[in-house]
Amino acid sequence: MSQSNQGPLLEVEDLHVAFQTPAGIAEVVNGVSLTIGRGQVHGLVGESGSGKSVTARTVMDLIPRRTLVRRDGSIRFNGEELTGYSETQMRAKIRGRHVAMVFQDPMTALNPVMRIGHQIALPMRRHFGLSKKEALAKAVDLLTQVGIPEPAKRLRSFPHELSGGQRQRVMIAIALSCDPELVIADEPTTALDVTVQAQILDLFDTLREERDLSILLVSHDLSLIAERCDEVSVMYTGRVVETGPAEAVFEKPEHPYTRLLEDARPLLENEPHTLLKTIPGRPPQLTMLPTGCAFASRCPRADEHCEEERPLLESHPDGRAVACLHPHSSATGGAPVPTGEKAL
Amino acid sequence: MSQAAVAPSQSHVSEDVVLEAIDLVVEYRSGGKANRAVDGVSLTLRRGETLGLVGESGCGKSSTGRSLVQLPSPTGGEVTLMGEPLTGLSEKALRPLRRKLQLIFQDPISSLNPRRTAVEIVMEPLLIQGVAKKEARERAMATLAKVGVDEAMAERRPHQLSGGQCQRISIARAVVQDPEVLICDEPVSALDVSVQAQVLNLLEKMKDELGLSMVFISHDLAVVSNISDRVAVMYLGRIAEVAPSRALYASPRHHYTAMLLDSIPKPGTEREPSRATNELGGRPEVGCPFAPRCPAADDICRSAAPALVEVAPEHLVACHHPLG
Repeated sequence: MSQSNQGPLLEVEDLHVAFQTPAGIAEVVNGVSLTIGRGQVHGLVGESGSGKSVTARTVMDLIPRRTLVRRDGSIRFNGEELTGYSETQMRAKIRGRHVAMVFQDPMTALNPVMRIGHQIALPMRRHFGLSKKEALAKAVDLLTQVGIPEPAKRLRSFPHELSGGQRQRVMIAIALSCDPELVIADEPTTALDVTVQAQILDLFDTLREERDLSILLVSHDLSLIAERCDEVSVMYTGRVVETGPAEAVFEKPEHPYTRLLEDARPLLENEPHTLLKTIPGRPPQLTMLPTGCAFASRCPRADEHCEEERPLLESHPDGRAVACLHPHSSATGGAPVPTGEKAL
Repeated sequence: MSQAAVAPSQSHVSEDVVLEAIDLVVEYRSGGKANRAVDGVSLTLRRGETLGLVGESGCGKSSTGRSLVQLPSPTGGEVTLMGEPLTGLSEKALRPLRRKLQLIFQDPISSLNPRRTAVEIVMEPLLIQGVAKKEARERAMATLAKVGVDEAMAERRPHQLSGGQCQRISIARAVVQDPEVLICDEPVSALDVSVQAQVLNLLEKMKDELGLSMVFISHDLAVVSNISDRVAVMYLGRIAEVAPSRALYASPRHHYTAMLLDSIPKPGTEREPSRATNELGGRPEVGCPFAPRCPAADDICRSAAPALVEVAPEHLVACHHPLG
């Protein structure tokens, strides 16, 4: 693999993924574009069915191709196009070597009948041809780095002997074993308690600083993404509706969906019995996406143009982009002024 | 941030106690060994009040909730509903009282009978009570309308409905029986944020309209703080702290509560590395259950379990070295 150190690490362009379902063709990912720079943490946030996990898994080519009716677009890693890679090439050159994945549920992602030492050693033996002994010695280092006490002893543990947080640390150790450039973490802390979540996210922060690691962090939790990511992309029905620096997007959301999603969160500082803002309706079926904006039917700012015209992701000079005909204007950006704004 | 305990607006909360638990103990047997999930929990729920029960997995919050409904009955301790004891009753004697105490579960789809339609699910408890079919159907439809399930949806089965709609049906099934107390066990944890907000608002509305009292169990502090008048924080089977929700979040006294609050993502703030200590280590044999993870633990903490004492009006904490 050519190691060009210029340009972004990962560029996804106009990615489309569709599945055949009994109800018709479900367009799960509809033209997603993402760019992740070196050493950057990019958050992918959305509700269930928004296509965030499918996007992440497609980058790793983890969705069996025979189940797909459509899969096109461009995925460039280090400047190299991955979409033409065969399964064998993905295995030999990408997965676990340059791009590693951390899943939500460490109990089902780990092999329950294999000692964790061997699970950590496996990718290093495969990709680097290390001997069993060498690989296990490196596994001890990795367990130390991810904060597992008594690492040498732990090599012989089975996954069920560890707590949920420790299992997730083991998953991260496996992901780091071949010193990847990109880690894709799909809801890595959703199954964990809040105190453990904070520790795992701190671990990601440290690793990124120490190893210049890039991370694609997939989560449904807007606060978590806003706190831990440099850049964020908000997804709705398989499309990125808003993207930009996490802090700016979070502080002044321009897409009505992002803003409503933020407002629907219960906040610690609320008085008891504060009624929450809700988003009316439900997302449209992925088998019957409307021609216009997919959020129009639920959007307080929508008008007849929104029903007809699908808004494209428009970039602003400040690095933000929003796919909306009537976005909330941001103080810094040159967002178009909404016409005929309805009262919120 | 005020150091004084803030009293919640209690206009709708009266002084009489609807549900009381004294010294609850729940033990599960596994491999001949008793595992104590709840270790001496006492709680009172006042009429019109929402009491939040918050803690991490394994803290015993769900076991506490279930033992209040006698599903199953606690290993030790007493539960009384409006002065009447629930513990030690036969299944038959318990049945008429159960109606007044309804439970809502986390997983909305699997907690509903997959072979019945929404209206049949809501009718069923009424039929069991001997209500005539026609009247049961009318009452079920009226209740479904109240929770926002329209007539077309009422004829669908759970798998044809979304998680949020199923949770509405669970709420309808609970309130159709005209209960006094609703016990909600992680009712919104499986839902997306936008749907979560709808269900939380619906619970508030039903509680107001029907004059319910509520025990709300969740791992999510923000959700609990929004809905509860008072919050009890549990750790390894014991109550660490109880306080009016504003006071708990504004000035936590227990080190564990502070650690929980500290761990919540706070966007826009420069974040210090988490002070949360490792989750390793089971419950110590003696002393405070939190001592192995506590930054303030000393010899007393490791030898004697602290009692729950009042440190400010309505604010109780079980700690030898409370904060604040």
